[in-house]
Amino acid sequence: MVKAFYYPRSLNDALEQLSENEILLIAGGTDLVVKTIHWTGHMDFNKTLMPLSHLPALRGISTDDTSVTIFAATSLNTILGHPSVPDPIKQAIRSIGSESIRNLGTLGGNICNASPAGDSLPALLGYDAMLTLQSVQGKRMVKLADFIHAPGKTRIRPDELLLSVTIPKLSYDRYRFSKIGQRKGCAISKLSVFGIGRIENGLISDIRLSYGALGPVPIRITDAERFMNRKSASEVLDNWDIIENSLETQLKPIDDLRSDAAYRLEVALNLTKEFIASFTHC
Amino acid sequence: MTSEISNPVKRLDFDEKINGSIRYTADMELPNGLFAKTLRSEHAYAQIINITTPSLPDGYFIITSKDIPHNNTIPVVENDWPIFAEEEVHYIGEPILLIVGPDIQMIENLMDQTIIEYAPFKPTLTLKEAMQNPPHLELSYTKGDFDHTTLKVLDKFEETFETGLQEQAYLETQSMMAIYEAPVIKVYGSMQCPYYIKDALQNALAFSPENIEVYQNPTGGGFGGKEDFPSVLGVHTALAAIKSGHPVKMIYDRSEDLSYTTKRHPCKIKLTTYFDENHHLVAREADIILDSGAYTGLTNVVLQRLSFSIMGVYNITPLHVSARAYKTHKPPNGAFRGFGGPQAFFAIESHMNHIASRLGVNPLDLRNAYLVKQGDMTSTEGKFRHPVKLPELVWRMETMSDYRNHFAESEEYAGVGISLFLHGCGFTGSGEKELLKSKVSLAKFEDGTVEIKASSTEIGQGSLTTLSKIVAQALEIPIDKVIHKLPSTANCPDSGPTVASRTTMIVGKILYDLCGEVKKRWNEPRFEVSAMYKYPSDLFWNNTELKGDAYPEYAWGANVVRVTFNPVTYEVDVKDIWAVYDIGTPIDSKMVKGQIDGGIVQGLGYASMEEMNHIAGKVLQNRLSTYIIPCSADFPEIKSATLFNPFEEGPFGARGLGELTLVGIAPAYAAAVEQATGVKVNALPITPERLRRLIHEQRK
Repeated sequence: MVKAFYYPRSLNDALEQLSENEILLIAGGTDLVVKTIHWTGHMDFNKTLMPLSHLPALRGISTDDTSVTIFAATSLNTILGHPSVPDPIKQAIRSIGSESIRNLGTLGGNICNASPAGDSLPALLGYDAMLTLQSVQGKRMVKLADFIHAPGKTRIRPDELLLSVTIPKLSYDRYRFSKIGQRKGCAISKLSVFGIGRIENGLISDIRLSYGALGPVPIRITDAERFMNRKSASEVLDNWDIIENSLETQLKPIDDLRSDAAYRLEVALNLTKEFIASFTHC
Repeated sequence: MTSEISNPVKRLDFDEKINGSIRYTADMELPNGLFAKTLRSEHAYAQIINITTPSLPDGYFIITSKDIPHNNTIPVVENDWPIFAEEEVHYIGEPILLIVGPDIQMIENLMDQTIIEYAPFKPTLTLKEAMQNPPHLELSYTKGDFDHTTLKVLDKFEETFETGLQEQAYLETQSMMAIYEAPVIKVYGSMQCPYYIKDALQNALAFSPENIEVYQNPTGGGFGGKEDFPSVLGVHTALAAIKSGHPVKMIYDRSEDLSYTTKRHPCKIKLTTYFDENHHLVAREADIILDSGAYTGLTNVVLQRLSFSIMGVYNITPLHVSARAYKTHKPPNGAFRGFGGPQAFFAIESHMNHIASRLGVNPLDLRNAYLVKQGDMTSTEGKFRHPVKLPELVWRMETMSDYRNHFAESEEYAGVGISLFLHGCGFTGSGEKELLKSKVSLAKFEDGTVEIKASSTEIGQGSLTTLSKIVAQALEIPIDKVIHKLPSTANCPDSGPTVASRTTMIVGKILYDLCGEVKKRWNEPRFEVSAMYKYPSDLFWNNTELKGDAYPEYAWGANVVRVTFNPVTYEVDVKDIWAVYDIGTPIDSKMVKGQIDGGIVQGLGYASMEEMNHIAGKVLQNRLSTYIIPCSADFPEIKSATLFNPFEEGPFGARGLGELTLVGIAPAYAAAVEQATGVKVNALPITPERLRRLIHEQRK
């Protein structure tokens, strides 16, 4: 049963409520409602519910020379329609749910929900996204990579909310987001692979590789990236066993009712290899 | 060539379904109504030691087996399926009692406070475990003379096929409501077979038939899932309404529906084909095993249809078939569009492909050499009495799909597959004659309108419109002069269940014939006439020997599927789907296309992605986010056609259609995947995970 419902009039109002009460935030609710609804039609929340999507201070996209800032309660479809949001991020967001889910669902919701299969997360990890968290005491910045630490678990404090996500404007020559689901639409990922990088003098440069839905949290594999940088694609492919070892030990794929660990790992490796191979065609 | 009747009309239920004004059972207000919820077993196999129920607030009731005045069984074919578990539970989710009351939140609290103590036994959970014990159902038959001593056999080829569970995934979950107005019990809900529910009520309540009324509410899909199962909800809500004195409604939520209602039977089929020295296929054996789940339900009829379909469309005689069904401690399996056909045709058509590959011949050439013809024996030594236009069907398919070129010039990671199949229209065996004895009525009124009275249900397939069209055209009156409402047992005679692809062909035919009588008496202001199904006199059936005409007629089909395979992700992409059917005269080309498109997509879901598993008797995929059915993006537009081959015993020449569209697509898909990947696929569903395993195993 819903204990209480608080409809904040402003961001400050919301922050004050957060500082005083135990509150569950809703920013779209497309996942929360499905997870919580009972056969009775009721939802079991032992906290006060507070919707955020209507607050102007939490909506919109701003941009400067070096970065794009997306406010947390901006809907996924609004993000897709914004010219400043980088295409690699858009490609990931476009793969989420269905048109109606993307109308309601928000980027902040996808991040704070912290699902291993959150489809925006690998791309945001690849972009080194920075999160701005706010409470009545002020703001603090956290790297997305440090924010999600277990399935559904983040380092947000109970008095904080996610204000915005800042994405640096990267230059890139290659990028790819591959989402594998059991069907082509409305699917929850079995695995996803995000890669982005530059080519300098025919060598791989500033490559980023991140993975979703394989293990407990979406993960970026920085040691594999370091190994690849300043090498040609063919040199990387010639030493593929090193990459394979690195990915195998860090991805920790699981067996569950969506897929099996062996499939997840092999396809993640295959997709990574295919992405690296794309650096050979300059 | 087409008939006038094939021209599409606006469906009778079009507006209310498009504008959303239609009210399903869950939408209906029930003044003073109560809600009923099922408390279910937590054990796969256990003795119930004790039930401790909480003290009930005013207006709340508990319904158990003790409230059943007569038999504690759901009568399907055998009476082994209890309404409520009494001493033992036989699967996780078996109903033990109902909690009934005005507030569903309170019902949930009361359910939490109800304590069932069990003494668990060791359950039988897999077919392999079940086969340690004798089967509960068994049949065998031989077509021709299967004598190993006289057969000139040089070689044989044997292989085994396996298929899994499939969920019907109708849009509307199981829903029912009951109102007791002593001495009459009235049950309303989502259903395919009002008279099955009436039988179940009579068996449980021992009310006299005139005091039992069953009404169909708008029904959001059935696919077989609302053939046998709604009897459970019908009896449950009736018992609750009688005890409480209030109207009672019961709506399954999706997880409850996915977890505990009937599914398509998992199956294992071993096929052995014998060859002579000229590599001719001279004999065949089939050994079939089904997982019934905890109770028999419709399993014996599914077992029959599967066994009779296993000859495919080929005259390979002798044919020996043995089939068995085993009980496991899982929810009972039941009816699902195709009713054994999809399992049979996956096995037989894949087997034909594998034989073609062994012999080094084109899969279509191999098939063409053995096609049945008019006058040939059916699997059960009945006769294909009417023109069998398989060569024309194959020719149409070849020209439409360019199958041979695709097959011969297949690029790497691309493949094409073909399947040929049939479906027996109507009840199996002499069901139409002995069991159903279908009856319909037509009432003519002063204003020149005519009302159809038949118990056939509208489950989305368009039967309200189809039957109206048949009557309107037969009487040569506009379709808006035909009245056809959702049926009830109170107002309609028993025209049989809405199953087995029988409604258009059989019920439509009785109506068509009856129109002759209406026409003769047209000048009378008001009258009502009835007629029964006339079983064709040249059909015979011996149910002990399983000999004779297992079906009144057959419908035929050919499918071709073209795919590409992604070796990086093991995903298969369907590029083209072609389908040709001989369903006699299409009664409405648009509704026929609806059945074709829907059946093919449901069959491709079965073939490629729908997976349901149990661990320790508990279903894993219990939500639509984990039990994955196809969406519109998954498959391309389906190119389909029908042959002109009117069936002389059908209304305007129509044969059955609904199930035919599902039964043949899985083997065509499997064959295409085999060509694209180079591995042999003997099990469904062909998920990317399964393909990955097969590729690793077979490339070793």
